[in-house]
Amino acid sequence: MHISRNRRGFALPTAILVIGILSISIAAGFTLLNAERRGVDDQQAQVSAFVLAQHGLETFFVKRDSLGFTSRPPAAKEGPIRIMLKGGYADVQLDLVRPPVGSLAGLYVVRSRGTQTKGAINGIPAGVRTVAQYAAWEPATMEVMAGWTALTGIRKNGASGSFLGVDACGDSAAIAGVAVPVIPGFNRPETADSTEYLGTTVNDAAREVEIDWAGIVAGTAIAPDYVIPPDAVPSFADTTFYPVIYMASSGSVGTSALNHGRGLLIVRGDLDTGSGATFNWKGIVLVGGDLTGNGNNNINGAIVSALNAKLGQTVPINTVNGTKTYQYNSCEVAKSLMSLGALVPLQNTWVDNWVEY
Amino acid sequence: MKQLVRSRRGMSIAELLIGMVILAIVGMGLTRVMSSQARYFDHQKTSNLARAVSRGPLNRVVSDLRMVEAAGGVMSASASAVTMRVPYAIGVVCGAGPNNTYTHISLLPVDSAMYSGLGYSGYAWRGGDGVYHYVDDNTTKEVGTLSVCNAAQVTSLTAEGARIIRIMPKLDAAATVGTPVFLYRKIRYSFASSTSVPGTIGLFRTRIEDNFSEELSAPYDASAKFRFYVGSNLVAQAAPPSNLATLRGLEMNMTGLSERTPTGATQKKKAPFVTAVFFKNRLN
Repeated sequence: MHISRNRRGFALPTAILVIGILSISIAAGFTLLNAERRGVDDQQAQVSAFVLAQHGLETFFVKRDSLGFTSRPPAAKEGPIRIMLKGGYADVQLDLVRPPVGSLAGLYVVRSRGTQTKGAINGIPAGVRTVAQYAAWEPATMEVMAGWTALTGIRKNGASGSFLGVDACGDSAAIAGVAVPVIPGFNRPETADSTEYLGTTVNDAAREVEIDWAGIVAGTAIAPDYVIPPDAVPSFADTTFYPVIYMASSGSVGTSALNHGRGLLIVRGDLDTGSGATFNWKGIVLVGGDLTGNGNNNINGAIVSALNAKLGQTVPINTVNGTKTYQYNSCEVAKSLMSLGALVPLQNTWVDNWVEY
Repeated sequence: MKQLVRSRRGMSIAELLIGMVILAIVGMGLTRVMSSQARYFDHQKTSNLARAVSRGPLNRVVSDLRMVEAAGGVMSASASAVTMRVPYAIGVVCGAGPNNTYTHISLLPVDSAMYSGLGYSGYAWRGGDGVYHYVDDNTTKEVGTLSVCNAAQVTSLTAEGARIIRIMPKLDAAATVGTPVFLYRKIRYSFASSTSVPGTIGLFRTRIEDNFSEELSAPYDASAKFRFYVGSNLVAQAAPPSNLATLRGLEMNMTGLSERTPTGATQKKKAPFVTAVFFKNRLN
C-alpha cells in the first residue's frame, strides 16, 4: 500500500520572517516620526499661543469699546473677555494699578492669555502663553491759557473779585488769570493775577485759541454724556462724577440744578450765572456766547467764553458783576477731561513671564 | 498482518543545493533590506538629533531676549557673544515708606522659578519720556510693605502671586508713584568651544554676576553666530552697530550637528536652523 505524504516547505516561515522584519522597521519609522512631530508640534504650539496672546492684547487696546468696555476711564477690573481668533483664543483682562490722581493719568495692567486650539493633539495640554503690558488712561489735553480766556474781552463791574491763574491744585505752573484780546481787553486788570493778551482783535484771539469749537457744536469732536434739553440735569451726589454736559442753547444756570456741579460744561449760546443765585462749578466751562457773571460765582478749573467768535459770529463782551472767584485748577481741568481720554499702552513695559505661563 | 514501516524519503543532493541557493538569495535580500533600513534609521535619528540641538535652547533664549529693553539693554555684542540686561520682573513705584530710606515697588506676578533664579544685577526705572535709567546694584532685594503701596493707592495683585519689594537707597526723586521699574540680570549668550561635545561649538548662557556658565546645547556647526537687526532694517547685518541702542533684534544662526557620524556617511549630519528674536520693549 502506497502512502502519499507532502513534505513540509520553508516558504511560509520565510514570509512570516520578512513580514515581521518589515513591520518592526515600519514601527520604528513611525516612532521616529512621532517623536519628531511631537517636537515640532510643541514648538508650533508655543509660537501660536504667543501670537494669539499678543493679538489679544493689541485687539483690546484698539477695540476696547467694541469689546463692550465703554467705561471712561476704565473700571477697576475689566474682563476677562474671550477674543476668538483663528487657531485659538485670547482671554484678556484689565486691572487697575493706580487710579488717576490729580492731573496724573490712571495706571492699568492688561494681560492676555493666548490658548492654541487648532492642531492641538487630543490628550496633550494646549499651548498657552501670557503677555502683559502697563497702560495709562491719558486724559484729553487742553491748552489752558488763563483761568478765564475770553475771546471778546471782559468788562468787570466793581473792584472786587478774583481772576486767579495760580494753580489751586499745586502741580502745574501758574498761568494768567485772564486772557483777552487787547481790544476790547479787560477793564480791571488789578483783580487778576496777570493778564495775557491774545493779539489785538477778537479775530486774533479766535485764531489763538485752538479749541475745535466747530467740531464741538457739530457734535463730531466730543460725545457729550448729557445734552440739555432733552436730558435732565444729572445728579452730582457722587463727588467723583465729572460728566460732559452740552447745553444746546443759551441758559441761566444760577437757579437750575446746574448751579452746583462738576465736569465739562459746554454752552452753545450765552451763559448767565443767575442774579442773586449761586453758581459753583468744578471743571471746565466752554461758552459759545458771552458769559454774564451774576450772583455768587465760584468756578474752580478754567473758563473759555465767546467761542462763537471762532465761527465768525459777533459776540458781545463778557460781563462780571460784583464779587466773584474764577480760579485756575489743573486737577479739576484734568478730571473734566478724563472721560475724553484714551487707554494708551505704556511703551517699554511689555512682559511675557506672567506667572500663569 | 504485515506492519508497514516506511520512513520519509530524504532530500536528494540536487534538492539540497537548490534549496541552499534559494535560501542564500532570500537571505541576501533580507540582509540588504535590514542593512539599508538600519542605515536609513541611523541617518534619520542623527538628523533628528541635529535638529533637536537647535530647538532645545530656543525657549530659554527667546524668553530672555524678547523682554530686553532696546535702548539700554544690550551691553556688548559680537558675532559670537551678546551681553544683555535681561528684565525678569516689572512693577511700579509705590513710595518711600515711613522711614523714607527705601523705595517700595509693587511687582507684577512673575514665574517663581524665574524670579528666584540667581544673578540679580540691578534695576531700571522708566523716565517720563519712556527711557529707562539703569542702576547696577547687586544687593538682594528685601521684602517690601504692602501698606506703603496701599497708602499710595497702588493696587497689588498679591492674590495672584505679585510681590512687594523695597530698594535701598531710594530711587531718583523723578521716579514718582506709578513709575515703572524692572529688575534685571546681566546675561551673556555666547557660541564657544563645546565642553560636552569636544571639537564642536556650544551655546553658553553665563550669569555675569557670579560668572556661572552653563552650556545650553551642543554641538553646533562652526558657522553658528549672531547677526544683528539694526533700526527698521529688514535684513540682519553681520557686524553689530557701533551704537548698540539702535539694535532691535538678533538673528541666530544655529546650525545643529549630530553628535556622531551616521553609518555609511563621511561627516556628521547638519540641520540648518536660523531664527530671529526682536526686542519687544522699544520706543521706536
